[in-house]
Amino acid sequence: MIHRRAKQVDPDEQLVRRIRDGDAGAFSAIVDRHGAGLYRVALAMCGNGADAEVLVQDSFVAAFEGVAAFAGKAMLRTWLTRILMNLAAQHRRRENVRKAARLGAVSEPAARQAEGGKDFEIDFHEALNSLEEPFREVVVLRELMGMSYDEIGEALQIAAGTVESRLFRGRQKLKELLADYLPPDDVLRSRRSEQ
Amino acid sequence: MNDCAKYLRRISAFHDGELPPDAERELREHLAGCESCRLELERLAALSELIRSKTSEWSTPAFRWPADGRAVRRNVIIRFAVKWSAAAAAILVVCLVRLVLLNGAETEPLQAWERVAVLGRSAIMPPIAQADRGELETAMLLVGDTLNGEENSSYE
Repeated sequence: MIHRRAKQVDPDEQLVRRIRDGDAGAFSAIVDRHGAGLYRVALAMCGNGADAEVLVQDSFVAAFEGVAAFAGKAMLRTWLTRILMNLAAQHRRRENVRKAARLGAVSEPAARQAEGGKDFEIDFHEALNSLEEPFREVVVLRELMGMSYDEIGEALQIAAGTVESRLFRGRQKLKELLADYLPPDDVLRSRRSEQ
Repeated sequence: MNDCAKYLRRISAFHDGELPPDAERELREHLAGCESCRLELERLAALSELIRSKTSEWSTPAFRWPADGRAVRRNVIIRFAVKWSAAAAAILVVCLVRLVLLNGAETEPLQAWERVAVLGRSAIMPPIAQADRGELETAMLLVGDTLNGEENSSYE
């Protein structure tokens, strides 16, 4: 008896094929598979749950409209992420214009400092916001999505070597900014010796 | 060259498992004898762990997609139509305002020399005021023309 190993088929690939064959309902499975991951990236990029939700919805709508043109060279997740990152960049530009118009307003971090509060989520968003956009993008895609350098390069249209150097610099900055939340060096040393 | 400076940039890629095999082997050898680089690797690991553990707690909303996608397509078309209608309306308003402003503006009377320059090329020139006539005649004599359209040859 001959045993044939079934060829592993990417579920995303199957879903895209179904959509191309006219099964528009298959898109809801794509939304279920990628919604949460994209939302976390959107939230990290814009720091606001309501805006993140709109960004993800808009990304899915754009993907739905363009799925027929999706060549399938990149992974579906990478393609969806690229759409999301483009929309997030547009959103950020609009926000910057809006913030520039609010000159007299007290900034959120300043208001919180006055209260003496400390919250990882706020500090994390603040730290991410202080990174320049190219560094923030690679850090978010690596740390939150666990994407490979090639995937990140594909999503952001940059070389894998550029991903490596941006990630290095982004992490160096982030390490300084989140130092209060990281274990001190002697704890890290002792942790390693235990291993 | 300081070895650590050379390896520091690679530690991030090593942490992600993205170094090519040769570079990875070389870095492993360096790490075995370098306390500060090992510590740097631990710091990166702690940073990644912190971010992943905290962000995995973020609650995510449930994204629902209509079963046949028709409603989404309809919304997309409506949004597209609204966006471009608004743009077309804005352009129309700008054009209308400009038209009204241009029609309402008073035109400056032409100088005598300007009339000389265009005389004979335009059938809709405004009539020449008596006050300008002397000045105009002088100017036309200089260019070899008369107000009646006869050529002045006295300077030939």
